[in-house]
Amino acid sequence: MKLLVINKTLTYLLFAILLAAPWIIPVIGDPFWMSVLSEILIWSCFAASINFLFGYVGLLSFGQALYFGFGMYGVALGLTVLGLGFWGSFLFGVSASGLMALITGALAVRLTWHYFAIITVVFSLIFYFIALTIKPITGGDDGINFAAPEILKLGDLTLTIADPTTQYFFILAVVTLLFFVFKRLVSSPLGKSLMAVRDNETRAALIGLNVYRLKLTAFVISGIFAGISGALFALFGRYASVSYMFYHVSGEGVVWAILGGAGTLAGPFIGTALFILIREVISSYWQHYALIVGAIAILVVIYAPKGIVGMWNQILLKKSEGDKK
Amino acid sequence: MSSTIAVLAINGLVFGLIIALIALGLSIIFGLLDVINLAHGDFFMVGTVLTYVIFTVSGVFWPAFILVPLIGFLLGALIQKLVMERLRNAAELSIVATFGLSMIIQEVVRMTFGAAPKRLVSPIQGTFDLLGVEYDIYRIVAALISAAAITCFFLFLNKTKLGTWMRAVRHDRNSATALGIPTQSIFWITFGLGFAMATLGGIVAAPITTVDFRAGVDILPFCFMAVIIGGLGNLPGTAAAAVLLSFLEGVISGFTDPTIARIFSLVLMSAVLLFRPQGLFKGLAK
Amino acid sequence: MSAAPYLQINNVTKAFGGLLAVNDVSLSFKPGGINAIIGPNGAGKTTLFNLITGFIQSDSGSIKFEGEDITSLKPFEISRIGIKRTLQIKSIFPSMTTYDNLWVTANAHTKNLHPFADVSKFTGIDDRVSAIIDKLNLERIAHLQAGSLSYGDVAVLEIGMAMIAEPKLILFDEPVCGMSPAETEKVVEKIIELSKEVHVVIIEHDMKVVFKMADHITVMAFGKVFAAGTPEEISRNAGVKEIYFGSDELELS
Repeated sequence: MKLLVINKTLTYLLFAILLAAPWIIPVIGDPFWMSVLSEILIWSCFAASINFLFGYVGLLSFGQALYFGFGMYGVALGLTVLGLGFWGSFLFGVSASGLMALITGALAVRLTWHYFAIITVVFSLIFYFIALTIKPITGGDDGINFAAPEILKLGDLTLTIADPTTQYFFILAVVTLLFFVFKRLVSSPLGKSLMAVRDNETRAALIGLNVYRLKLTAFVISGIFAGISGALFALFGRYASVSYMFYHVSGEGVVWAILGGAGTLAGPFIGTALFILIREVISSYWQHYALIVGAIAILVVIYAPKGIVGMWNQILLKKSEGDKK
Repeated sequence: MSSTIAVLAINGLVFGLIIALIALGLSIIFGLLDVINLAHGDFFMVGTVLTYVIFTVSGVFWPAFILVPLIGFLLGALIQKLVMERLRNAAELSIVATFGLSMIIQEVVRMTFGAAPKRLVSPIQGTFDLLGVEYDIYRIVAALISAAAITCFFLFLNKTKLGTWMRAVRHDRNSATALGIPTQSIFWITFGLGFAMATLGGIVAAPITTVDFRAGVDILPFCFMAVIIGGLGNLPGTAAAAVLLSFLEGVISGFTDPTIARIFSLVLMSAVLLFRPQGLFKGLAK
Repeated sequence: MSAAPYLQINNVTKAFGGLLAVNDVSLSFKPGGINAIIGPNGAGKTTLFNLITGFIQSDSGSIKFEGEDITSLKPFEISRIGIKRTLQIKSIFPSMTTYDNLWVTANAHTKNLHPFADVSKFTGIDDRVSAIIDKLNLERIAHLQAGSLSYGDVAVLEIGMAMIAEPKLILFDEPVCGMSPAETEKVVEKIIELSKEVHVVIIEHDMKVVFKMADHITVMAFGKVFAAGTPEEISRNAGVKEIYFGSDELELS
């Protein structure tokens, strides 16, 4: 039980730091790091979608970039073509990704893990190529840019995402909300049943769980998380590009999720933060950051498959058992 | 007009044979080692790059045929022993390792070879008249070499002791070990062979494609399509699927955007995965 | 007391390639005691269990439970009717605690799983889990990870998981396989107790255990029913001894 207390305290500490960041960061460094922090938060949702599906349900998807893309283009096209406002396009993007996840998931989760992993890549490639083909709409690899809509207008008070601080707090609010949803999900009957499926699919069917339905539910939830990530990305970069739908993006997300710790709550954030920070720090000296990503990917799966948070939990657990004796 | 389609179709056949060679390498890695090798396209790319380097340095093309597959085999064996071997109990994570490998290989090539695509001069110049069009002799030679290599591969698999051992391990790992087959060695031999075959495809393709650190990314989905549509474990099926798909894509791209041809193949692949996972060419399997 | 069979298997056949794993088998399991199925390896016993629980579909024949045809139902549907099964290789959810293993099982029949409320809020389920933990003396391992439990404890947990869903019939596939004598005794005791409340059919190789537990024995060999009767009848059947001839599976006490 000590583990829970320590982790809880650390989480609150992290949250406090994140809240205070807009005031701390300009003091200790370049304000540029604020946008890096925003980026980390946005991509942690992406890593969370992969983490949820792999860590808690046992399904390794290499195609989450597809739902990211639907969220991203849902917002982009919602703003530019459909004339939806901020909230309308956000909702549109997230719904589009959820719907896509439902359709593709209905087919994909019937397969065993080899073929499941392959088909998730295939589906994402299909839509990547389709998106490339309809370049006039999607802008292809170059992408499309658009203007920043308002978030809110209350009398004289207008919140726009053009303001970096407002932007940051909006993202933080969404990500925090997602975190709590994730947390609740994991300790709910649905969550426990999903973990049972992960642990032992045959047994799960034997005790009466509808494994197909459970996997599909998890897949859709995961798709929605990825879609939210994409929607946030589009809103805050005011940019959408087909290149973010390519399987490399999915693959990097997998690496972040595993490095952080599959099957843990804090894993996605930690893994994403580490990678993005490494990239930002290293790429000022050395362009070959991809080597580090590749090397870490290999080293992590061989030597630390539980990831950082996973190992941390293990250490805490061992300590508390040692203390008992 | 129709001769353009014919040329595209024949190009499709030529590339199909080359891809078949590469895809067979992917298939044995997938079938024997249970590894979804996301770096396989990059193995092919390494083949093209090494060929380019050898030609640029020595001025001769043909030594590549001996050196490059050898290097490929050694690299493959090394990767299996150092990396994949340690992941044998965590099969799902092996896909992450191959992804990391892919990133490393691409970046290393980018660092040493450069980011700019290069073209290799064809070792056999000259064209001949094919259906009223000037067609490269080299392409026909490339197709023939690939076909020969594929034939040698099947002969090796079916007529040699090592090949039989590999088939036994593919069929049932545990029984094979119980029979005294050195399964551990078969694993790195398989990975090495897979890498070598991909590089061989790269050597043959080098003069007719761009030599570029990103070349693997295009090839990879195609190889997987051949393996899945042909049927996992169905090697002749994989080869047939590669040729057929490439031929079809060639024909389709005569009428429309090549990307659309690619989408068509991917959709076909999805359909096979979902509804006929043993592949379309069941009859060809032994 | 009605002797209508709770489980009726009629002319069921299942072939794998050329091999007839189950060959035109007809069996009636009547209430009143534990039914045991014995037979040499490859006799078709586990295949029969797989057919009953829907993991494989028979080529022909029908299976009825309490008068209802269950031949073509899927495994999770069979489970929801009240037929539970343990596997030969002990199979639980290793990363979850004993308590959670039981909790998930108890809740598995809920059609719509709640995605947000914390599990501790479901007092109804919690009561049932606590009741089973009490009954099977699982308190000391209740919050330990199931994957770290001893083999004997896992077997008792499996029995708990079979019981918690208020089953009508439990199929035990070699329940004491690989256990120490002390663990075996504990498990046998629990199963006998259990059989007073639910129907029990076991597959077992250990003859001491079979003769201790079974009220009725069916002998299978080569996919067919070879003999059936009370333990006394079976122990006197010369043919039964013969089909085990040469194997050290037979240890009559």
